[in-house]
This record gives sequence, C-alpha cells and structure tokens, in this order.
Amino acid sequence: MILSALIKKEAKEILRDPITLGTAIFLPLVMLFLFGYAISLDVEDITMAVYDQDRTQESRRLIEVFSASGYFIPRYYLDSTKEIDEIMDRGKAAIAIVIPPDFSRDINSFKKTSLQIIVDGSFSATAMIVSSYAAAIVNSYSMDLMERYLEQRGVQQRHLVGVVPRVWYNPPMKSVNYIVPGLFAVLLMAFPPMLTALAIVREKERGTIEQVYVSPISPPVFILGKTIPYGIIAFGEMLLILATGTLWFQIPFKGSLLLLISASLIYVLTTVGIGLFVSTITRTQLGAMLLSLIVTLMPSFLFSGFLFPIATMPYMMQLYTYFFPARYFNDISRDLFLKGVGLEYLWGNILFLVIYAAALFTLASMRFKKKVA
Amino acid sequence: MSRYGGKKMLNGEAVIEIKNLGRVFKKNWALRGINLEINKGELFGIVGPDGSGKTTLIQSLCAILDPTEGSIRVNGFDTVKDSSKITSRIGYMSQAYSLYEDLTVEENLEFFAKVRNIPEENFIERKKRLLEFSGLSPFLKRRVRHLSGGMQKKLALCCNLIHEPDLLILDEPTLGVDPISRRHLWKMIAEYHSLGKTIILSTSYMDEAKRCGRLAFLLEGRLLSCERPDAFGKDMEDVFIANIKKVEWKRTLPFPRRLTEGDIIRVEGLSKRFDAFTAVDKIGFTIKRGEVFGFVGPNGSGKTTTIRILCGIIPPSDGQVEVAGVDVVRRPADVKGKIGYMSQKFSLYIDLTIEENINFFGRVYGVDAKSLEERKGWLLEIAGLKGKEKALTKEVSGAVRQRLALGCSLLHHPDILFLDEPTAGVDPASRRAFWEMIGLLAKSGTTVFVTTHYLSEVEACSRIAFLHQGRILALDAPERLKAIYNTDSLEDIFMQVMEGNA
Repeated sequence: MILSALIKKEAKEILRDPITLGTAIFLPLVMLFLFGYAISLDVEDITMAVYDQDRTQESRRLIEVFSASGYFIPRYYLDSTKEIDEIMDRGKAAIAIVIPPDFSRDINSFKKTSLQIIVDGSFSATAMIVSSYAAAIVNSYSMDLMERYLEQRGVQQRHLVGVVPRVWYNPPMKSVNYIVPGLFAVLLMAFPPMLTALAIVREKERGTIEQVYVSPISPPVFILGKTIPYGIIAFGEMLLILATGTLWFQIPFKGSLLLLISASLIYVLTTVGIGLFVSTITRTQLGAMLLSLIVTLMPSFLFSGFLFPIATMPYMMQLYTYFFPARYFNDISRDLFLKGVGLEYLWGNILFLVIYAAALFTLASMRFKKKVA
Repeated sequence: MSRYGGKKMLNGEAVIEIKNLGRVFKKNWALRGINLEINKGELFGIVGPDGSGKTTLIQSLCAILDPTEGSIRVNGFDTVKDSSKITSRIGYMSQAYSLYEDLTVEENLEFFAKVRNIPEENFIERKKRLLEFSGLSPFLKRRVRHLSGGMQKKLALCCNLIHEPDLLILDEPTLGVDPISRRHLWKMIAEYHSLGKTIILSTSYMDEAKRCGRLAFLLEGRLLSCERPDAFGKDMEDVFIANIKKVEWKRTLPFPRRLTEGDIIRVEGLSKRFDAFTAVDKIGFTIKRGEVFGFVGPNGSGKTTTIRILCGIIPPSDGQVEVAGVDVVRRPADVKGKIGYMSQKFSLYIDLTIEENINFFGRVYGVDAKSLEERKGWLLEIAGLKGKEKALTKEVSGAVRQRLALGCSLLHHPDILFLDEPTAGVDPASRRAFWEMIGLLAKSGTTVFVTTHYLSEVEACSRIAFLHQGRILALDAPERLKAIYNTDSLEDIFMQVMEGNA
C-alpha cells in the first residue's frame, strides 16, 4: 500500500518532468549514434607520402601494391627528405616510404635492398597497426619477387609455409560489431545512476524528505519506492538502445536473447543501486550529479574493457577494474553478441552482478537514516 | 514500553517530557540544558530570536534529530530508541516546503493519506472536509507549483491533518505568508486544537505567540522561561527585545544629508501582462524624496513584479515609469546606478566571506577603492561584524545576513532603496532595529520603497499602498487610512479592503 503510493507518486513526477524523461530516453539514443559512428578502431585509408628516389617501373610497382591493398592512399610524392619532415610534422600523412636510388638495380641483380618506412607514432595503437600493415605488404611483395626468381631458375615449388588465417567471432573484423555491444554497458551506466541519485537528493534539497522522515515509511520501502520506477525506466532504456543499436548498425547476434535480457535486468539494478548509494552520501543535486559521473561514466569508459582491453593493463589496474559492474556486463554483452556462448561460461559474471546489486541495496538501506543530521 | 506510553496518555499527563536536552552542531551547542513537559491538549508555542534553537528543538521532538545529551519522550517513547513509533503517528510541518510541486493538490493529499494507511472511506470524507475548510476545493486539480505561498502552507497543513494525529508539530507555519492566509491558517489550527489535540508550534509573530496556552522562550539554545503569554506583560515584543541585548546594532550613516524635496518616482498607467495573466493592472503613484513607501499585498498581488519594473529588470507592457529622473521604459540600464535593491533572499554569496561579499558588491556598483574602504568599516560596524570579516557568510545568522545585505545594497549611495520583503523570517528585535535604520536612511534623503507582509511594520511608513490582484485598492498615510476606515488596526483595514474587492 505504502509502496504503491510511493511508486505512483514517483511515476507522476517523472512523467510531468520533461527533463527526466528526455535524459532517460533521448540522450542515450544520441550517445548511441554518436559513439556508434565516431568510435572506430578500424585502420583504413591511411594517407601515405612517397619519396621515390629510384623512379623506375619496379618502384612504381611497389607503390601500386600499397594502394591496391585498400589500406593506403599514396597522396604526396616528395623530392627530398626535408619534405618528409614537413609532411609528417603537419600530420598530413601517417606513413612515409623512402625508396632508395638503386632499388630496381639491386632487385634485378638479386641483391638485398632495403626500404625506409617512417610511421607517425604519436598514437601508438594506430602506429602499430599501420607499421604492421606496411610490413605485411612489403613482405608479400618481396615474396612475389622471390617466386619470380625461383621460376626463372625452374623451381615450381611456391610457398614453403602457407598461412591461412581464420578470424573467429567477428570475421569481417569490423570494430562496430565490438563497440556497439560494449556501448550498452556504458550507456546504462551514464544515465540511470544519475537520475536515481537526483530523485532522492531533490527531496533532500526541497525539504520533502522531512515529511518522509516523519511518516510510517520505512527506509527499505522508501528505497524500493525509488528503485522500482527508476529500474523500469532504465530497463526500458536498455531495451530501446538494444533494439536500435542492433538493428541500425546491423550487429550480428549469436547468443540467447533471453539470457541477454535477464542479464541486463540485473545490470540495470546495479546501475540504479549505485545511484541510490550516491544519494545517501550527498546533499545537493550538483554533488549527486558530479559524484555519480565520477563513479559510473568514467570507469565504465576506461576500466570496463569497452575501449582498452583489460588484459593489456598493468596488474594493479586489472584488479581495480573488478570494482566496476560495467566490466562484467561488457563481457556478457560482447560474448553473447559475438561468440554466442551460454550461461555455462557467463554465470560467474552474472553472479557477481547479483551480489553487487544486493550489496548496494543493503548498504543504501542501512545508510538511509530517518534523521535530518 | 508501549503500554507505559498508553497509560500516560490516558491520565492526561505529559505528552512530551524533555530531560536535560542538548544538541551539538560542529562543536557549537544549538540547544543545552532544556527541561520541559508539554501536556495533552496544550497549544504550546516556542519563541525566540533567529538562531536560538527553535527548529533544532522541533526536529528533536519529531524524532528526526538525535540529542547529543539528555533525552526526549514523546507519548512515552524515546526519540532515539523508538523513533519509528513516534514518526509514524505524529503530524509535522517543516519550515521548508513539504509538498511535491509537480503533483496536484488532490494527488498530494492522496499520497500523504496512502502513506499513512488511511482507509479509502475515511480519506474521502476527511479530504472533503479539509478542502472546504481551507478554501482549497476550487484548486483540486491544480499543481502545487502553481499555488501561492499561502495556499501551499494551507495544503501542507491539510496533508498533516489527513491522518488526524493526536500530536501536531508546526515549525513557523505562517512564515512568509500574507495576512489573509495567516488568518486562515490560524483558524485551522484553532479548530484542530479544539478537538482536544496537542499542538506545538514555533513562531516569530508576537500576536501569534499570544494565542498559545504556554510559551517557551528560547535564547541562544537555552530555555529562558516557560510561562503563560500574559506573564510576559502587555507588549511581548518589548520583553523579547529587553532580553536580547546582543542584537543591538549601531545605526549611523556614511553619507551626507541630501535633498528631501521633489518627486523621485513617478508611475502612470503601469501594466504588466504575462500571456493571458495580468500581474499589474494600470497602477499609478508618485513618491517624494525621503519617503518610506510601503507596498502591501498578499502573495501574488504584483508587488515583486512592480519592483522589478521600477528597477528596470523587466519591461512593462504599458505605462510610464520615471525613477530618479530616468525614463525606465526607454533607458532601463541608466537607472541601475541610482538604485539599491535587496531581495527577500538577501542575494549574498554564502560561500564567500563577509569581506569578500562587501568588496564584490562595492566593485560591481563601481565604488572607488578609497570610498569602499571607508564604507566597509561603516558596514561592519552597523552589522556588528567587526572582527568577523573573514567568517563565511553562510555561518552567520539570518538577522546578521540581513544587515549585511542591507549594507551591501547601500555601498554605492543610491537615491532609492528597494526592499523586497526584507524582514521575512527575522526575529522581532532585529526587525525593529532594521526599521530604525530605514527611518534614519529616509531622514538623510534616501527614498525607501518596501514590500512586506507584516502590517505592524508598515506603521513606520510615510505612506502605504494596498495591492490586490495587480491593482492599488487604497493609498495613503497610515493615520489617514485609520481615520477613513475608523479603526486603529491596519490589519483590519487590510481585511476590509481585500474583502470589499474579493
């Protein structure tokens, strides 16, 4: 009876406040599209500068191989090493190759020759990819030369060791397939905790909370009265971004939809729980907003494995990531979308989320005292 | 425990027993050594200056604030050990807003009834009765944020009467409420008391204090005395003031005397419409230099809108306004250097120190460094803040903040001072001192334009305008008004004027 009155009251307030509704529904969609399009770890269309000191058919063929790969666009043809400095300093090209003057002569006389490849290493992750692509292209070019040489000698054996790479889980290696399922974990951390925290702190700021203190409403009932409406909003938000994200970006889904929805229901409770906890330690709406951003949005970007793989973090930081529920849901979501694994692999993560949510509710109920000071 | 509680009630003995109560906030004793018993059926008042511990005492009684020392029993229950047994039964109206402003009048009532498990049939009957009695019936479907302050207070009271508590505790229930709503609220309180219920309330209005059966007088967290109101003598305000030597403040001015002749404000056919709503409706008046002009009216009558137009903050829809020789309608920016403005909220930066506030407002109004230094000394002296320059503004009491705000609005030596409800929530002694300061300002040639709810205050005005629904219903000197309406009480005149135009 008391609980239903609290929920009814909360629902009316939410429906009459366009800002809360907008934040809950509209902003996550905006962020979904922004991040879905903006965050791409795919490296393609790399602008390339070429200083061809050889200027022969052979050197042009090498450049041709680069542009035919689809990853590199040779845009600048230079005449001196000084120009390389300038082009790289201005960030006009991410890679520059220098072909030595006797490149074709050496090749035709089967002498060893070497190319210089300069890579802009400012952003190391991209630089690694760019340089390994370039190395792979040069290797395959060199292999072709070798084959030609062997053919001239009448040797028919082509490759000694052949490599046939097979990419599992995300065969086209499109990063959007990997980013969008991770975004669900991040977006759910962005808004529900803040909205929930504000809902309680607003009552403190306005003074209505004193009326709640002097009433038969018990702390767990009050906490539940906030959790249920905001939990429903957060769950609705989850379904909305799940449907939009999957259909719009055409992300393949391999796992069990029921499992994903059940897991997200639990995850939603942890996000609302964080909001509840934040509200018990802050007094002003501004404080609640800042604190919930610091404990939710930032860690879910940085420490959930959303963008930066946890495995490559220093050991201490890896331990730190265990504190953030986004990490667990990020794994669940990606594993279900890309790998299609079942509960037998995911139960650990789900169990942790359950414990996390239960702990937050207990803590929030305990900290919520019906006293003004 | 509960049986003990029940027995006590039946015998008509103490509903509340306070033993050696003390409460500390950040090392300061807000209350100390309070011993008090309140009996069933009493109408008990708590009075005292700002910061004397009234709200702390009330919150302690409601079991939402634990004592640092001593104990309180309410209906036999201890406020620490059995707080839920107390909070679930009593009614409590806090000073802050206690309503959900996005819900309607009806929805608020329904919420508080459901939370208290009131059966549907009782709720319907009580709702009807309370709404009729409070005059809120026509506003059933209106959202609380669109109600006037007085109506909100009445609704808050109704929400606390819906479960018919035996003990009702009210923290300054009529604070910032216009005289008509104040009368209504008191009618509701008196009627509820007549049912044999116990009511405890705090107030800073002496006429309200007189209506209580017994009064506890708090001063600096201590219980000065607890008596029947007549034991305090004829004029309670005098007792109050006699007991509070500390708030005495020096009243001097740093300005030379000025011209006190000629008109300084001319208003003709002034109207302001917000969409379909007319806030100010064709008003006109002239104010002379050195006058203290009182602008009186209930909440929402257009007082603040008029002040904002005169100060050039919002443009009028119609009419002419001339302030200190400036045509405010055409050149609103030019008037700002000539006026001082103090709002009801004392517009100070509470996270700055007192000195930083003074420096800030001085610079904003373009006071040069040398004059600012002089006037700062004067301000600190009149506000009794010498030696406290480095204190944070939020740490000083409301009365001191009010003086600081007044001083800040005078730093640039304005021709006219606009005061928008300058004494709301300030105790009588400080209020009296504040008005003496206003008198002094007027004598030195500064015109004062003041809005207020307190009709006892406007006696000190040279002229008063009664405003209702954007129109001036009466405008004259207080003595002339009394002669015309043949009564000695401005409050009666106010009621007559309002009722004649309702």
